[in-house]
Amino acid sequence: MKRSLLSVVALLTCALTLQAQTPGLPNDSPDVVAARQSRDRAEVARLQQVVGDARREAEGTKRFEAYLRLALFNVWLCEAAEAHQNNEVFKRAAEEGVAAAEKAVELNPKSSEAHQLLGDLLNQLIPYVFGGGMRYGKRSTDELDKAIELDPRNAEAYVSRAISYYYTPESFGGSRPKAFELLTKAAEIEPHADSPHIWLAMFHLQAGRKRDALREINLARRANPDRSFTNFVYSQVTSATKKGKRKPATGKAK
Amino acid sequence: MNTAHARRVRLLKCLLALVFAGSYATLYGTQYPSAKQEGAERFDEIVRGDFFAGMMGDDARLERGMKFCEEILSKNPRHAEALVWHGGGLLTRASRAYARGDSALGDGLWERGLKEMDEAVTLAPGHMGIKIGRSATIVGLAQSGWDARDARGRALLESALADYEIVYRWRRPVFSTLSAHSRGELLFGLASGWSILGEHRKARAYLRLVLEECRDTDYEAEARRWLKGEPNAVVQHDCRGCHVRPSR
Repeated sequence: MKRSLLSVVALLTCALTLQAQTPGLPNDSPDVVAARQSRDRAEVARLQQVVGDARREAEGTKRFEAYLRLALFNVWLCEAAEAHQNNEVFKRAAEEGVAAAEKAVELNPKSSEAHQLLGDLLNQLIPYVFGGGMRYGKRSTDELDKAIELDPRNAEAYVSRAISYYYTPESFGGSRPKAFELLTKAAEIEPHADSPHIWLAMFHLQAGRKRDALREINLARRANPDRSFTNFVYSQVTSATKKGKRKPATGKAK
Repeated sequence: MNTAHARRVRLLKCLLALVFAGSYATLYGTQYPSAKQEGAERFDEIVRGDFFAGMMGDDARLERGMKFCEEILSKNPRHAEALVWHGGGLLTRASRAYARGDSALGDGLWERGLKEMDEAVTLAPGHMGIKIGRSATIVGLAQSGWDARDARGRALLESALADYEIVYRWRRPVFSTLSAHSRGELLFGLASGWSILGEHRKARAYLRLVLEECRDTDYEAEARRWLKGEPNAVVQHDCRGCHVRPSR
C-alpha cells in the first residue's frame, strides 16, 4: 500500500514537473512528438502538412494552445527548410510563425512560451527581410527578455536570448560571454535538452576551441542523435578537428 | 534558429544610428564642394547632434531635429539636406514603431523615410553628404537583413553602391588624407554591399583596395581575414569607432 502510494506520488511529481517545464504545450502529445521527429529528419513536406493542420485548428478554435502549436511547428519547419537551404519556405514559415505567436501572446500575455516563440521567430525572420535587424531586432530581444521574466526556468528562452547576445555587436548590447552564460544556464535547467549543447558547440568552434566544441556536440548527440541540425554541427566540428590534427594549429586555441 | 542561418545573421539592433552617424559625419568631412560655396554653418553640423542622439534613443532630441527640418521643408520642400536627415529620422521612428509591435505604423514611416532619402538624392545629385547619408543607411539596412528576391531592395542597394562609388571617385584625389575611419568604412561598405548582391569579385576587389588604402590599420587586418576566407562569403563589417557626438 505504502509502495503504491509512493508510486502515485512519484508519478504525480513527474507529471507536474513536466507540466511546469512546458506551460503551454504538452511536449509528449503524439502530434508534437511526430512533428519533432519530422524536424529532426528535416522533412519539409511532412512539416508543411503538420503546419497546415495546426493552421486549420487555430483558425477553427481560435484557442491559445492552437496558436502556440502553430508557432512552434513553424519554428521547426524553419529548421527543416534551412537544412535544405530552402529560403522561400523558411521565410514563409517564419512570417506565419510570427503571426501565430503574436496571436498567442495576445490571448495569453502571461505565457513565457508564447513570448519566447515570438522572439525566436522574429530573429528567424531578420536575415530574410531587407532591414530586418532594424525592423525586428529590438522587439525580438524585448520578447525574449519578457519570456525569461515570466518564467526564469524557460530553457528555450535562454537559448534564443543567448543566440541574440552572440550575434549582436557589443556596442549594441551584444555579449559573447553572456551568450555562453545563458546557454550554460539553459543546460543546467534542462540537462537532457540538446539545443543548448548544439549552440555551445557552435560557439566554441567559432572561437577555435575544438575540444570544447566536440564535448558539447557529443552531449547534444547523446540527448538526441537523430536531429539533422546536430549532425550538421557534428560534421563541422569533426571536420575542423581533423584539419587541426593534420596541420598543427597556429591560431590561439583557448 | 539554426546553424547556417545563424552564421549569416547579424542582429544589428540599432544599425541605422551606427551607419548614418558614422559614415555621414566622418566621410562628409569639411571638403564637399557645395559647402565651400556656402557662407552659413553647414546644415549637418546644425542637426546631427540631435539626430544622432535621437537615433540612439533620445526621443526629445530626435523630435527637436525633426521639427527643425520640418520648419525648413515647410518653406522649401526641395531642401535636399533637410529631406535626407528627415528621412533618416522617419526610419528611426519606424524602428520604434516596429519595436512596439506596431507594424502598420512602422511600414508607413519606413516607406516615407526611404522615399525622402531617394528624393533628396534626386534633388541634389552632386551633393556628396546626401549621397553618403543615404548610401550608408541602405548598405547598413541590407547588412541587417536581405531578401534576394526583393526587387526593390536590390534596386535600392544597387543605387546606394553606385553612389558610394561616385563618392569614392570624388574623394580619390584626397583619399589618403582622409581619416582611416572614413577610408575604411567607405571601402568596407562597398565590399559588403557587393557581396550581399552576390558580386563577389567586385567585393574582393574592394577588400584588396582596403589593403592598399588602409595600410597598417585594423581595416587592413580585417580585409586580409576576409580575403583569406571563403571567397563567396557575405562580408559583414561592424563600423569601427562610430559614436554619437554630444549636443552642441
